[in-house]
Amino acid sequence: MTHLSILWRRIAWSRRASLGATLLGVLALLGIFAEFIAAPAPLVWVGPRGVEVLPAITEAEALNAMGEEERRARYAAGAGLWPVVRHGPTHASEAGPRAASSKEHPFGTDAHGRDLVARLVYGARTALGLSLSAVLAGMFLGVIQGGLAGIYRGFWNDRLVRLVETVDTFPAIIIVALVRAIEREPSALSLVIAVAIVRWAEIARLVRAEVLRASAEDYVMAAKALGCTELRVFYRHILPNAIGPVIVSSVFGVASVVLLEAAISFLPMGASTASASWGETLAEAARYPEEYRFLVLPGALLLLTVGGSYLLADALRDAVDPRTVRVRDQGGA
Amino acid sequence: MLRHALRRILWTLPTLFVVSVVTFLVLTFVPDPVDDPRFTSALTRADRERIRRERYLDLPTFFNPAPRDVQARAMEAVRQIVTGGAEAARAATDLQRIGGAALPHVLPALDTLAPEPRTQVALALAPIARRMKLPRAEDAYDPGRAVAFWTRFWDDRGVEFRAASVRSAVQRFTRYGSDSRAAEILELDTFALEYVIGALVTPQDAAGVAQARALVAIAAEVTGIDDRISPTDDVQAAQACVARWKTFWSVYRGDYAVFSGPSRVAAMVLETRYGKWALGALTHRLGLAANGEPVLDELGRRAPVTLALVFGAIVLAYAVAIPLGVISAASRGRKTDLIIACIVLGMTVVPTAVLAVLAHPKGGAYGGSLLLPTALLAVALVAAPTRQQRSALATVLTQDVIRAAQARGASRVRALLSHGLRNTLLPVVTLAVVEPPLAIGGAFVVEHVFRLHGLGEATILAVQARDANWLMALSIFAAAVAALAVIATDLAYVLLDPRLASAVLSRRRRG
Repeated sequence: MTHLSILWRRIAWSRRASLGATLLGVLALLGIFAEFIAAPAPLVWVGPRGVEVLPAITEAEALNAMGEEERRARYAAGAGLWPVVRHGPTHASEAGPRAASSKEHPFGTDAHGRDLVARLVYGARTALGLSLSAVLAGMFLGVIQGGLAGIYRGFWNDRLVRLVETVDTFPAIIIVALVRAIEREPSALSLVIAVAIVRWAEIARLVRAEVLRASAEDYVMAAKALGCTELRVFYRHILPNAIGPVIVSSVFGVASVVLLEAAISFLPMGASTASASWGETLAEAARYPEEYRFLVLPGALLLLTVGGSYLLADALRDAVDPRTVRVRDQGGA
Repeated sequence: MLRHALRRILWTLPTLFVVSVVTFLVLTFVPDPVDDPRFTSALTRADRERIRRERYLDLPTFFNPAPRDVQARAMEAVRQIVTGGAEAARAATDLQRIGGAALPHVLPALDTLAPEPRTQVALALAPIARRMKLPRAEDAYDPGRAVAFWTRFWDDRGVEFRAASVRSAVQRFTRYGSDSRAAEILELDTFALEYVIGALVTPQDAAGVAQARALVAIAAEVTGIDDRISPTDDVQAAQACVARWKTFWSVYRGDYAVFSGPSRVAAMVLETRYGKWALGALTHRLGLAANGEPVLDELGRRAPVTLALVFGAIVLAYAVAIPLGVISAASRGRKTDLIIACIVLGMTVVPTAVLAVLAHPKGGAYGGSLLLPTALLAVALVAAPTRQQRSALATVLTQDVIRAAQARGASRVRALLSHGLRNTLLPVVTLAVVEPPLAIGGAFVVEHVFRLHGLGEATILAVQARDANWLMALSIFAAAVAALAVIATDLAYVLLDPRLASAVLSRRRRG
């Protein structure tokens, strides 16, 4: 049985892992297929302009420029399939701000008159998209930097390690504040970069520690004695050992980045971004405390996301860490 | 031990310097207000340049290979006057503004010019003669006599344009002060400005105000900027006025001072955006924030709130987490363990923002103590140390130490607490360093909900106003706190486990 298949069995049989993966998976599907749940245009429409498939994606800009009346007029004639909610996340609807729930708006509208369901569903896209890309970028950078720092040692390397230490202890929210201060139009990309800068350091630290530990091991010495290059030793013999902790840390990272994103959009730092965010809805809850749905709905979604990634990461950690398995076997649980 | 700590603290200074440089580099990308078309269309070119200059946007970021001093500026103005055209009028105004400080460079160079341009340059200098109240200043306006006037002036008075003599003149004036000594300085025009501003100290009492008033009057006279201390002004108004003049000097120093020799090398570093910021930060309490207050005062007022919140929450979280971790490790595999795990997970996943809004639903200001916000912040921090404590203790419990202790008759609790716990505190302490940066995000959220006047509030305002001074200070402050926390952890290692002393003290020797 290979190492990977042992890992896979441990993860697949863990109830925590499957619960966490299911939660994250459902939320990810929600984010990916947001247009199928809430969109200002139908999914499929057969009308005077022929057959339109998912105009909300293909003609997003044209639809965004239109008013509510125009949109309604556009799809007055013909027949087709609408998504559950007929509103996008950025359009103020006619129901007005903070409307109660109705057939049109299952959870009502937010303080700007935008449909709450749409806000939440597209918020899942923002939260997960942002955190996944930031975590992956950080993982990539961190593995490379940590590997280099572990393999090539010297004066500049020491400085680099100190840099990592500093970045690692630097509050992410301050980096985000700096980034927000220098950009004209707040964008998701700059947030990804800012978060990746912070995430990168932690991964680099993990990988470097693993490289240093493994360099003293016999199998690395053996590989070197057989004539492997440093790069090959790192790639074939050290990285597979390091990747477990890196993945665990990254899955935990998803949770912390989702929370960070919520905190940033909760605080009125700079202009708000165009994309929907759960944090923004929470900020509205702070302004209108009597509207519990502004608090409970995004709060619950955040809770599920964070909880899901914690469960998954916890299970993964137990799976990759041989010590815990042994302890558990002895304990008989 | 103390020496080690001091050495480590000293070594944080280079780190802070690097952090300040990097942050500054990032902040140089702050959008320039002058680029905003809504704002600039209403301004003239001169105004635009003045605004750019007052924000140091005309300078390079970190290194200025050729800092422009009064000599460079004066000679460039002369060249432009000689070339003529549209730029000539502007150059003449420039030359008049630079004033007396330009004379030691321009007048000796007059001989090298052709007769026609020579007259033009001499005529451009005429307003300076009037400002200096020279006898027969009208001659300078006469094209036929202007050149002769300035040549004679330089032959007669050139010897007075020496740094040493001006310095002692200003010293005499500040010490004894009289109208004739003031007139003596005024005759040197802006050439004396460097020493006048140098002699200007922030007044503390009535005597200081009188002295500052006399110096400021000279500076106002020679620069034509009507910002004086009136006889009715109190000490505070005088201090503000002196601060304004110091700021003026920081911006326009290159117009009046000569950079030669060592001062040229210094100017290569100081006549840059970073140099100007660093000098202002060191001498003026980290510069002024967007609301006009010195950043350091603001930081001193706000930091205690946030730090109390963050460190209070961490202490609180650890006070809860360590017992929880011990109980959960002791009851591994039983129901208690599971319940604790669930509670801890539940505490982690609830976003701080949700908790804060729930606990403080009324929109009004929060007048109470920091206790409730600290407790809310602590909730999210309990999980990591609990888990760490549990897994560390679980490993220790299988070791022979514990079994041996129990074999000797120690109770299970005693074995756990006195033999197990001490061995597991180390990794938990390590974790404590990682917590403040995480907690600070939550602290900003809690501060925002509870309307506490901490760092978070100021940072939000600074981001909205794009206030670079505050963000610089905040970034350096955060790095300093983080560095101190790392040092404190290392010292805690030594206290918790004296065996580590030699390792810790030597490992970090180089920094």
